Amino acid sequence: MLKFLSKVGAYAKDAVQAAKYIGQGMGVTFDHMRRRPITVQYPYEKLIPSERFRGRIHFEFDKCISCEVCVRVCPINLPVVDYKFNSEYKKKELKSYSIDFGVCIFCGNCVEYCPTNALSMTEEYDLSTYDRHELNFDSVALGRLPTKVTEDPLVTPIRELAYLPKGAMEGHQVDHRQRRAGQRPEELMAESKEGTEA
Amino acid sequence: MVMIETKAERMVINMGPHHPSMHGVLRLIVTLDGENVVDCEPVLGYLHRSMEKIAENRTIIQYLPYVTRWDYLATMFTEAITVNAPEKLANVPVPRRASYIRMIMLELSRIASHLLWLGTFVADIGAQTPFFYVFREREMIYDLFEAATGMRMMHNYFRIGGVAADLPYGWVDKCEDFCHYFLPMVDEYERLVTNNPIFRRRVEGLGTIGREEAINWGLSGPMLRGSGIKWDLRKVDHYELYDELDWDVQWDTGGDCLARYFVRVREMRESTKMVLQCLKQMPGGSYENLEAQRMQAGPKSEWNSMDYQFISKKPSPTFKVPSGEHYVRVEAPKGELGVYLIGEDNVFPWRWKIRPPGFINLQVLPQLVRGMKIADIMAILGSVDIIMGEVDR
Ligand code: SF4
Ligand code: SF4
Repeated sequence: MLKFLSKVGAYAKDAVQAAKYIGQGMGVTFDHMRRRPITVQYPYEKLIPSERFRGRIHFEFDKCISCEVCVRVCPINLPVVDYKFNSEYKKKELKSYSIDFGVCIFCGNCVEYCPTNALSMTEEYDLSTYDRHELNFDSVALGRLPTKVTEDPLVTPIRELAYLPKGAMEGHQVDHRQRRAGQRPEELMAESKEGTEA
Repeated sequence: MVMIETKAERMVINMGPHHPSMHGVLRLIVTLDGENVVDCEPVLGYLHRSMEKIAENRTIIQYLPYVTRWDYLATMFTEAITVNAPEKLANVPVPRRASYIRMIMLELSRIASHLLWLGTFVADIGAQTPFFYVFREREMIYDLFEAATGMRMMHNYFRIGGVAADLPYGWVDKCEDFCHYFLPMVDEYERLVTNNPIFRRRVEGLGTIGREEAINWGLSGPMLRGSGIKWDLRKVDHYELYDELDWDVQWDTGGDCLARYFVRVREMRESTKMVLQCLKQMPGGSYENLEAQRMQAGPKSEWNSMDYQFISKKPSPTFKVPSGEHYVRVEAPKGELGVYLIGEDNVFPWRWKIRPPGFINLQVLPQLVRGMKIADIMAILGSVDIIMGEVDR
């Protein structure tokens, strides 16, 4: 009889424990009632890509010296540099330049190593098309600039965590024009000067 | 007399490669006796992209964008090992500041990897909610990565001799913010999961592997530390500047799925602490501070010295891997990630053998699931933490 009672007791204790811990978990769940959703409603709200974001590549035809460094550092030798050697001026003349963004992986190697900074990366990331060959950009298409998220009247721009003011954790709660975290070096200089003079 | 046949025939079923809770494309051929698992044979190779062969005809710079596709959840580690191997072979110095930036990135990446592991692990067991919670914090880490490196997952940030660029303005502040925000969030996960009776019943004593066995199978990472072995390459190999930080190896003696869960959750906390320490101790501090000091002290200032650079020297596109061979390893979130590199004074490495932790840890799976119920396969596989990208390469 005693054994049975202790068994019942243990069972009841177990049940109470279980109820307690499940209640604890539910507490976390219900705590979310007072939190705002963090999801970005994509076509209406868009994240502002970071400054270093590596999107579609921008190319400036006149700066290119046809050195083909971009081809050599690309993992798949992707950029097509079509040039002719002009024997009169002893210079390479660029005829056309193209990058196929259906194949590019946006690693940024070509941008990093281009000696004349003819290449740069834009913030364009939505490159979907119905035909993959449309993604093969020639030098004209490469020279276009994308629209900015902040200037699109149909879109609410939202900043990413690293660009929010100090203390703010969520892009929805701060206006995107508010100043981001970190002081400018000039301000820091001024501060330290004041410190030494005083 | 008529006997009722109670013993059923053994059944061989096929799980995967496109099973929703398979981590990637892994196929398991499971032999069942009723609901009991008699045997299990993993079939690999569905994600094989010949990463090692590709490395043999790419320069290191060309190859760097590939490596984040090995273990696409702990991307910084694959980059770290890819630059560490030629760096050590060619004796390229790494400035202290660069090393600190690397450690911050590595630890953040570890947190991101463990977070996703936590989400998928409990999702495998049947709890879907934490999966969405962990994504919230993981997203923040990726925001930080995007600001510093330009991409959320495929960073291409590490370079031979340092990193690609210094941290952007305000990054240190926001990273600190994140760390302070993150620690209470781990408490939240723990409140949600750790003591949940359903979770406990599902994982306690499941997939136990002993100390000796863990060593004999060549396991590494949380798999090994969960079995009571204090083995962490950050302490053992003294790479980067981990010795300057104050931290402990997280380990547990259970050897079961629960122990591995504890090890990983504790590692997340420990990593957060390490990131905070790194941010404080980084030579030059935040980039805006470094800039200010440089502007103030002029071009000849000590702030321009080697210690405060983010890279020792920009690697040329024709960086030659010197002749020689060696094995380099780092402690990735999943275990020991190593590269065996043979160079022959050429721009291309002669051999680039990858030792992925997931591949080695996966081989213990058949032993762990033998004798268990079929529903436990997913829980055990989840606790091993494999990523097919690195298992198959
Ligand atoms: S590296 Fe720059 S300058 Fe040279 S070919 Fe490419 S785009 Fe032109
Ligand atoms: S971004 Fe990378 S893959 Fe694309 S063209 Fe440049 S180097 Fe090649």
